[in-house]
Formats: sequence, C-alpha cells, structure tokens
Amino acid sequence: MGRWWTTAAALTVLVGAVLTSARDTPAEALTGNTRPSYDFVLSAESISGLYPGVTKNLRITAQNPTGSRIVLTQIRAEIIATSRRRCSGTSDNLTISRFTGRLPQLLDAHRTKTIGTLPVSMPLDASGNCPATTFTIKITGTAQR
Amino acid sequence: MRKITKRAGAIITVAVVGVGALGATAWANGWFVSTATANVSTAQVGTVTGTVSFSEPLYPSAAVDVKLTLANPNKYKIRITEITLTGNPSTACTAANSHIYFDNPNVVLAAEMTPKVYTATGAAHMSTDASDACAGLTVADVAVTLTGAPTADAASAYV
Repeated sequence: MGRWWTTAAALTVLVGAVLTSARDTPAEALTGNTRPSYDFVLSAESISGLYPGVTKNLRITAQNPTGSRIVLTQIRAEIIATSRRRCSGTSDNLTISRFTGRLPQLLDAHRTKTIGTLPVSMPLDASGNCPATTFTIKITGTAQR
Repeated sequence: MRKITKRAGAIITVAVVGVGALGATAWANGWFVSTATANVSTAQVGTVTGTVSFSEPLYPSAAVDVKLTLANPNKYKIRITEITLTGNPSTACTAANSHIYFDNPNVVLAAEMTPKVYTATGAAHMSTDASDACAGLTVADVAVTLTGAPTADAASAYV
C-alpha cells in the first residue's frame, strides 16, 4: 500500500510539473523576428525612415496555432537596444505609445490576424546622434486560454 | 528508520496530488506569453546647404540685412536658430577681432525644399571695436555656419 501511494504521488507531481513547465516553454527556436511561445506567436513589421516629429505604426500580428481559442489580454513594448552607442534607447529619442488594438481580444483557433498597432514616434528634440539608427523593440504579449 | 503511518501517507499523498493538480489546472486555464522583436530605423540627416549675402558691406556699428538662400533635403522642417562665423575672414581679420555677429534668423525651412531665399532684416552686425584689419571685407571672405533643429512649426515665407 505504502509503495503504491508513493508511486502515485510521484507520478502526479511529475505530470503536474511537466504540464506547468510546458505552458511557458518556447516550442521553437528564434526564427526571423519572432519568438513563438508554445501557445501563440506574435510578430511585428519593422519600419524605417522615422524622423523627428513623425509617428509611424508598428503593426502587430498574432497567430494562434492551437486548436482552442485564446484571449489576448496585454501587449507591452520596450526598447531593448539601439545600433548607436551615443543614441540611447530612451523615450527622449523614441517614444512608444499605448497599443491601439482592442484588449482583451479573442483569437480563434488556427487563426492569424493583425491585432493592432504600436505607434512609435521620434520627438522633435531627439538627440542629434540618432539619425540612421536602428532601435530594437521587444514586444511582449500575454494571453489566456 | 521511522515508518510512515497510513494516515500520514494519506495526508502526504493528498497534498502531493493537490500540487500536481494545481499545476495541471494552471496549464489548462492559465496565462501564457509570447514575444517578438521589431526594428525601427531612423532616417539619415541631409545637410542644409545654401549661400549667404549681405545687403551692403559690413562696417563698424552696422546692422545689415542677411540674405539666405537655403535648401532642405530632409523630410522634416528645420528651424534655423543661429548663424556663426566659420573660421577667420582673413589672416589679419579674425573671428575674434572682427566682432561680427548675427541675430537669430528664426527661419523655418519647409521639408524637402529646393533653394529658397529668405531675408533676415538687420541680422548681421559689426561692433564699433572691430579691428581695422577688417576694413574692405567682401562677402566672399565671410563664411558662416547655420545651426538648426527639427520643428513642427509652420514654414517661413520666402522671397
């Protein structure tokens, strides 16, 4: 009896641990500009030619490869790098406004759609060190099943 | 070795099963995260080019009009905020002893603009303590540097 309980308990913990870790484990390696999670894939078009005083929109696409619908609940973005050391990745040089898409937003099973945009703009008083600079923006989306 | 009683074993098993079940429930109903990266590239800056001339020769105590012929290759408007002498007008007449200075022309250049002429009235000055070596300067001797910044303001009227 004691051995049976121990075995059952160990199996239960193992299954729970596997399922819990599988939730956040990326299923694929970094591909292109996207890094898919196990449950949905975000991607964004890059933009160029930004200059002071202008706003351009980063179009965000979400793909739900699973067989069940999910609800996107949050989209966040942050500057993680710039190509010029003297042009810092701060809001002084590039501002990212609030996501324009609707949240929460349903994404049906096996669907891919544009879910909204992230407006990015360069302030008029951006640093003079920022022309011909590439800012890398990380976009993080959260969803629920 | 101490033996686990049936009762203790049952409690442990229920607890462990509960933890496992919570993990499974979290996976089934929980949140998950995906990330992407995107690049945003900024435009090159084009140099504002042009020529400068004066309405009459500079002389001590003068305040003469500055005629600016300027082009802006950039996709954004630029406000010219400063004109400064570049280098020395001649060997003897230097930037330091010529005492030539300029008012802020406050000119806004339209985006992607072909050469246009602007006049900054009375904007070029020569102080009364200018060196005698600066007498007879011609406009060709005077090179200037314009300083400006992007702006959203309306473009200035040109001639």
